[in-house]
Amino acid sequence: MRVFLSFLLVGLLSLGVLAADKICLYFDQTGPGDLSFNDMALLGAQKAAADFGLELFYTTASSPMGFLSDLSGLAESGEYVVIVGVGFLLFDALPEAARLYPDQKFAFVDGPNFDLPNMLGLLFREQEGGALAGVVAALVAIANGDPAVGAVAGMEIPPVWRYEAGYRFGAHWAVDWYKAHTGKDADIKVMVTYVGRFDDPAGGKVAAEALIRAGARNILGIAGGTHLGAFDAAEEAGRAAGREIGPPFAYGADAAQEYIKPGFILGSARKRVDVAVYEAVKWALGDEPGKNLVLGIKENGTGFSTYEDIVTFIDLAVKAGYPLAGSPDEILEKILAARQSVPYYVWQALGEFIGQLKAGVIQLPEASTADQIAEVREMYP
Amino acid sequence: MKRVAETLTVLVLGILVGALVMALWGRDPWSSYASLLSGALGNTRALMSTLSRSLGLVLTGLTFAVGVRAGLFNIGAQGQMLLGAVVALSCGLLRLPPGLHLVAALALSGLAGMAWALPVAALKLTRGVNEVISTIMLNWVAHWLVLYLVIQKLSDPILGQRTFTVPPGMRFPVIRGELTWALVLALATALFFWWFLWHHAKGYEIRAAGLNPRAATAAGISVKKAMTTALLLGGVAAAWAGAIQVLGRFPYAITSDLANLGNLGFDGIAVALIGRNHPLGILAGAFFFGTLATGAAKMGLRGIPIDMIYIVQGVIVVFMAAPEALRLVRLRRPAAKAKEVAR
Repeated sequence: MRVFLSFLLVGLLSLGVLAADKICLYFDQTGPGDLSFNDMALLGAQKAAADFGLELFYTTASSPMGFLSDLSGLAESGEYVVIVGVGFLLFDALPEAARLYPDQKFAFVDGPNFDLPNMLGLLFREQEGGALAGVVAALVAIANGDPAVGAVAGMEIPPVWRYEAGYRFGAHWAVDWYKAHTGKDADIKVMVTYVGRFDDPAGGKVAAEALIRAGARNILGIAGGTHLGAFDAAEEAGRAAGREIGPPFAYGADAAQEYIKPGFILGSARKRVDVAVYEAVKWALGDEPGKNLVLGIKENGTGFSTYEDIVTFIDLAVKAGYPLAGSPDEILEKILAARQSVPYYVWQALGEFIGQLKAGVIQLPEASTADQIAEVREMYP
Repeated sequence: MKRVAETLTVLVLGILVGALVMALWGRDPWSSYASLLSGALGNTRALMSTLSRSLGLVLTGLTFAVGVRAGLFNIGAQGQMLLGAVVALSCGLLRLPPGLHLVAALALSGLAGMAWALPVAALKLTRGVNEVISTIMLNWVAHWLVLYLVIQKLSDPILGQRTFTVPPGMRFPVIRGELTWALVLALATALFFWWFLWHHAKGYEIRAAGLNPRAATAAGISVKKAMTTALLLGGVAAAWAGAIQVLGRFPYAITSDLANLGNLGFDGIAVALIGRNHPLGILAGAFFFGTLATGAAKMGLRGIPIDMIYIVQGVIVVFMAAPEALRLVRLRRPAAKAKEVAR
């Protein structure tokens, strides 16, 4: 009976008897609980649901084999104002679903709109966040006499490439800045290891340990769950040397991840997925056709983690029941102490860089294809 | 008849325990199951997705089943499946007329699966190496080899997260929605296995060797040959399971984490057990498995977290597979003694 009723309901909904009044988030992998990318998407959707009086539903793909059928099922229901695909792995299935269901609006976090009238592409200038981390990492490395900075990356996909490209650019910019301001010579190599996965902390740890051994004691994590292992590696190496505060320092990505290993994570390259999802709902409620929305530092879509960001994410972690290494106040104090432990001119340089970036004085390299990233790697070794 | 009743009983038990799990976490199990069914079978489009998802499972199920019939515990389908997929994909680099291109890809992919099964047979029959050990090791060799090829050699020139897509002339034509004519390949292979095992002398020899190798040897049957045949046939079926993921399913490519090939090889073991290692039972088992997998997203929208969906799916599958698994354990005891003969 219930089965019959639910079939009937599905039928009614697809006839448009009931109006669409829900937001749907569809995650490609793992879903909320990562305290980063996915949780930020959820945060933005929650805010939009509250602001626009909509209901919110979300679900995670059980396997990439089901992407297309899952999305088709969601579109058929006709219940959703917008179906927001979260994650780059939906690159094939999401546009295909948008073509099959032209009356359903879709948004693609981390992907383009494929010139589809019913799809909003939400892209980030990841280069900007990456470059800011690169500036800080390289200047700290120079101050500590390290020969290199490192990064632990996930899969070879455009959003990660853009982070890498920015990081490389930022590090080289910092070397030039240092030379110009101190008159002393410096040289920093950028070493990036691709682990190949976003859910392999053990692999991330091994990669980070190798980087630290090679002298790269500032490591940016751009690998989702994988780079949590890089945080462990930084903390362990620091504690083994008898330190409570780095070096080595790790850098988070997307969210403000400092609270995970306070003292050993100096900052985070921000990517405001929450802002993007909120914008997607706003777009879906309006009449504008599909387009690409590119979020950068000017749109508050990227940046280097601020005091407010750090506090927000400590809060989020407390609410999610994440096991913190102390009281929220102690954590915050330690994070700030780490920032004060590096020379003041690091933050001065960061401020200058941000100013030039916003003013358009600095142009960051493009890295959305394999050829472009290969060029960047050659230009900024 | 008795087996059908047994299967239905464990199905009900599995569903009840799954419901208990959901109820314990404060979710409504019956509306969740209803959404699972409507998500997998609720309309033509969903049914096509479910069928499409089931085809690979039919083939890897056959791989395991034909092994069991020969007295083998062949878990090498995963590696053979991966290799079959990458060989089929690589055929996209060749220039051949449409149609013929597809046939060539299937032929080469099947050969690759056979080649990957050959060392298992050789090690078992000349050195007495247990097939469980050799297939586990070969699965990993295949996994890393395929991962290397996919990332380093076959990746899309613009996108890093998957390989190039195979040319249209090499794909199975679409029937409707996600379902392609790969359906015929899977059904025909299942029918062939059934005919071969029950209506062909060589198939009879396989079953005799599996039931009682000593008696089979005494009757003049070469147990070694029978086992080799079972392993090679299984290799072809598993490779085709991989091939149809590339040639017969959107996006007609392999993702860089191999995730769109899934765990077909291992899931095939469960499918074979549900289907009582009988080709026709496997068709039903694969469809059942496909239903569970395709309905998951709809369940997720009822507020069931993905991990709990995995648990419920796992519980039902374990119950469904248990009777045959227990029967195999019982059967293998005398067979183990008789293995000396096979060496």
